[in-house]
Amino acid sequence: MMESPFNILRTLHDEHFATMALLEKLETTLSGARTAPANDDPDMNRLLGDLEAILDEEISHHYAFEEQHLFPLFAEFGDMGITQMLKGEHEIIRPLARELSERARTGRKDGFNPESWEIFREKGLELVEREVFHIQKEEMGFLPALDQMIDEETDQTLSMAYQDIKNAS
Amino acid sequence: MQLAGTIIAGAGARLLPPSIPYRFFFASGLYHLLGWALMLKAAVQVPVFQGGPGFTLAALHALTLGVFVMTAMGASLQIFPVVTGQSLKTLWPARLASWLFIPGVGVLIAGFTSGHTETMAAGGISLSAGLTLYVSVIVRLLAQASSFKVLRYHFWLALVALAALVLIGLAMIFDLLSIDQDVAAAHGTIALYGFMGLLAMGFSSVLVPMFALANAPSQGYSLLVMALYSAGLVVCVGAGLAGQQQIVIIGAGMMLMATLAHVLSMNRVIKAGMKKKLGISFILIRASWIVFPLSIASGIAAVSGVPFEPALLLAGYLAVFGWLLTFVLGVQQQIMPFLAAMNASTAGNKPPRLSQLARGAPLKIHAVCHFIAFVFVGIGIAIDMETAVQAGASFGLIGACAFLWFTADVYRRMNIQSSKNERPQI
Repeated sequence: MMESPFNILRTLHDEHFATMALLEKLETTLSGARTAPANDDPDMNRLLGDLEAILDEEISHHYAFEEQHLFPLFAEFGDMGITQMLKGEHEIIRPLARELSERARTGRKDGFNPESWEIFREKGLELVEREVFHIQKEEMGFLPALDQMIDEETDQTLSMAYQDIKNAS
Repeated sequence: MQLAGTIIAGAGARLLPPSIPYRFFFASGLYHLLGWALMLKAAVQVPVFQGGPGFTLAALHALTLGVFVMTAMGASLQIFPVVTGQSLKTLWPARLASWLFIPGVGVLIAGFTSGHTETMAAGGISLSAGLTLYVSVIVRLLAQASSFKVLRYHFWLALVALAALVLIGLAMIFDLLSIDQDVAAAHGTIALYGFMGLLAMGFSSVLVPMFALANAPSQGYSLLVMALYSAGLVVCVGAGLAGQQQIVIIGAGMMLMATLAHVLSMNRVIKAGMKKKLGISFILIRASWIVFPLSIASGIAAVSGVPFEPALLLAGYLAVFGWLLTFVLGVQQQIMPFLAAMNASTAGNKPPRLSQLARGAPLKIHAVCHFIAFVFVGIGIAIDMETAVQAGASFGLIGACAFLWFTADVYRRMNIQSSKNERPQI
């Protein structure tokens, strides 16, 4: 886990933390619910809403920021392999997250039937596994390495760039 | 970069062919099975075991050498090239080490069961040669590493303990040392708490934060705990050989304090971790951390002269079966799918999910059987009850079959995923 003096790394870590908490909640719910939930299940609707928000955040901001700003910075220090691996994982997770977010939105609006629930469940569990493994790599490898690479000035520039990406959307 | 991050993020380029670590994991699975089978066979002798050749000693070595050391060799041969950033220049020493060590353990066990000294000697020489080769490979890697102090220091001290225990073991086989209780106890203490204990603590400081997604305990704290533990061990073994029981208790007390400090720091790591659902493996690992200090406390009670005859045997039982076996199997079931995922992932291909590589059913069966076995055999030793030992060993045997099934299944699934990834993408 990151205990960095840099604002940008703490922000990314906090987002990972929030994502992890939600993914663990999602895994628990999906593992225990083999049949489609009722349309008016408030807990499920809250979970689906949180899922949508996190996935949209993760896809549109977090990944984009890493790819546009952090991976090139990291690659400057010579370790292309790690960024290629992480980018490859983004490319696998991104469509999965987009589809799941869409299905969560539809499910919250119209409810699930047995078929759509089964697909949601399967995709959800796949996302949990892939995203948790991905966060594990970023938290234990990527962010600590960045912590050694950046200084206060870069931290400020990166923080502003991330804010710009968020504001733009 | 943190060690754990290096393992995760930089492993690809330095992964060994899976056949190298997995031959140790498969052998460990087989010796695990053999260990419980020998316990079943030795059920009547187990509660009154006081050392000397026989099925009980054979079972003990099937687990200590066949499972603990075997797994440590397989895991470290894969992990150390990654963490030191040094690829193994050639693979033949690691392969030759496996060819000498894996059958060497079997021959030694055969020698113990038959009481045939020449067979014991052949096994002891073969496995010692294998261990020497393995150590030379790892020492070469560690000599070039500049960071990862906590793991490296634990490993260096573990190697010192290994040298001491092999020398005492060979001296006992070749009758260079009179085999009395004190010498046998020194050999056992160095093996369990020295070599395996230091490895377990060193690897925990890296692997637990990695799996729980947490910061490792501070380097200073870990090294202080290691120093207290090692000093306690030296005092304990030295005083034991000199027949100074009061000083043995002081040494064991130092070890107990260090052990509690280690376990508490590991619990803090898990509590602070981002990952809360850690699976069955961490049920085993956490249970082993409860038994670790308990085994030392039981040893202290036994040496202090508590009026309970099997106290010392129970202390040894807690250390071997309750702490180390439970810990090693917990760690092994985390590492195998993790390494398999790394091996099955190739650039430009969709990496497999961990659930595609590891099934939960065999691990659940194993965990249940393992805990039942641990309790039953413990009761059998405490009240000298052969049927309890038999029942426990039978559960242990079923659990070991399930664990071997898990190992074979992960390997099979890894090969399927690897071959899928090797096919041209259309």
